[in-house]
Amino acid sequence: MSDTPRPADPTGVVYDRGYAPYTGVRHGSRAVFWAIVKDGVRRGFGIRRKFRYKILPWSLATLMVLPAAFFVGFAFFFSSQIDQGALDFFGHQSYAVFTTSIAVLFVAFVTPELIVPDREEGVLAVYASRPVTALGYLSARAAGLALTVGVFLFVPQVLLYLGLGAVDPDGFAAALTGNLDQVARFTAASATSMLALAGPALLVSLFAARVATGSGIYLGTVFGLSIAGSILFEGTGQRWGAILSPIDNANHLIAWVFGGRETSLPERADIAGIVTLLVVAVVGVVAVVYAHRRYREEL
Amino acid sequence: MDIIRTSSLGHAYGDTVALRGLDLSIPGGINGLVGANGAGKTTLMKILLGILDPTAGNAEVLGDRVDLEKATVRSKVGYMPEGDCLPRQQSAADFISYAAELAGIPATAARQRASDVLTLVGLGEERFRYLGDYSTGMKQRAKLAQAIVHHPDLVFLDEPTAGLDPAGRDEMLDLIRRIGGFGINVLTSSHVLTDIEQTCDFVVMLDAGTVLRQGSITGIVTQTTVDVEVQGASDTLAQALRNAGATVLVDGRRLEVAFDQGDPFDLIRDQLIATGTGLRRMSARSSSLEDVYLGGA
Repeated sequence: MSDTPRPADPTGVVYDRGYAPYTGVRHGSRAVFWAIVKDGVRRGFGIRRKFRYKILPWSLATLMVLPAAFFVGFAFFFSSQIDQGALDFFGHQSYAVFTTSIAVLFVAFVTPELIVPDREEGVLAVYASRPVTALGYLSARAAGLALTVGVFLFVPQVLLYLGLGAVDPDGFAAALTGNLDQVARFTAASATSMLALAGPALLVSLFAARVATGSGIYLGTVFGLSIAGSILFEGTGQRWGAILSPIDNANHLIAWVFGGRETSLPERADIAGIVTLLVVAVVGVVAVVYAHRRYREEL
Repeated sequence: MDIIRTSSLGHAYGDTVALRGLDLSIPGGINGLVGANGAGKTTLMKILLGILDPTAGNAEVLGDRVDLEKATVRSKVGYMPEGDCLPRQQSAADFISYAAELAGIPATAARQRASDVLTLVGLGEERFRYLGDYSTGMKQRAKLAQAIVHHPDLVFLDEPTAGLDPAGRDEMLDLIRRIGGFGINVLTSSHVLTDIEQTCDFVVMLDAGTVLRQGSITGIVTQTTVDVEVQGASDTLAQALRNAGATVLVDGRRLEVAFDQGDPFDLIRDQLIATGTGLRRMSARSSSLEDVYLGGA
């Protein structure tokens, strides 16, 4: 009979850690603000959400980048066969105006997604038990919205900038350093365009009971105002009708920032860019003030 | 030290008065807030959290005036609302971690806290599932987890057993008792009086926005009475007991005897002998919180 080796005495010990109170560092209101901003960006892009919440934002983001890739590819292969005037078509202003419609769809999805679920699902009660004020919450949500939409508008412009630099006959480095003014312009254009489109979306989201309803109402409002603005300005000659449409306002501000021209209603009504910017800012302020009145009762 | 004090606290929604003249002194520990639907429990909790402003009087939580130091109060409390408060499209781990970050806990530590607290409430294995896929019992546990993830000094639990089956209810009550053992003060509301009786050390009874009664559970429910069933007529015995200072309710051959000047059993024994009454049955009967509430409401 062989000896069966005895197992060694157990050396591992299982501890019941039980509950340990949190005694670590606690940050102040600035960290809480950024936590809400970060949550807003994640929610906008469907990060750490179910797959179906990723489909729309990432599809639209892809659509947003594709024209840049096409522009750069076209310029690369055909730059020697077409004149410089035609190549200017592929500039940052044209690109911003060209992609405004995609941005409208993105804003229509993202803004209610950032605002409505907290109300609809009762999550505001969690914020109400944390050191978060109504103003702090709304500021952080607005910042999250601005960052999400801003990134959506800005990143394709950066890719276009790099792409056009790569096909520039003067060389990549020379193109980048020689066109730095374009970076400032498309940054400002992204910011003003974001404000023109997201302000009304924020206002609509405050009334919507569900995300899909908010998206639908926003799209209906934006396209409805576009039609109403055209009728008022071109049909009846009412000049103020030209500043009703968020899409036209966004395009007008893009052209204003780039110092160019395009065919938006305010442009045709000969309205100054600064006036359009003021109108857009007023809509944004109205949205924030109304939101604060509403959320003050819940936070 | 009292964790909650209110002075002439009142609140009205337009013409509807929800709370009137509340003077409360609630000590540390596990405390219950009892009342029928519409008694003002949720309104009181919302005032204590600073969500609603009182229309009269004032409230102090953990030594700070709620109306003057709202942020300070909120940095020390947690809240489990009665209704939904969970985003359906997020996993429990992500949301509870976010709830910790909202209390100022750094992201990495918040992630670890979320994991620990979800394990504590029995959702450790389920923490990566989306909250929208949770059952009612799991949602209640997740709601409790978000309320304590930042280790508050005081947690408000609004109807924590609502919608739970008996087993789930027992588990939730056990969790509440455990939380009290971790040094977290608790104020839990319920209209199920047995839940409060099983869990709490101190109770506040609300009725139509006013305080019906407040005090320690043992002080309220240990007023013992004795049920007596006799052979033959009970009138002679009942009269003898009353003459001796007892309070007696007669129902045929049954008597309910309360005596606060000594041992009621000794008194009943002596009067049974004195009156020559035959005894069929005698037993102690502790009044429940429900008896007290229904007797006072």
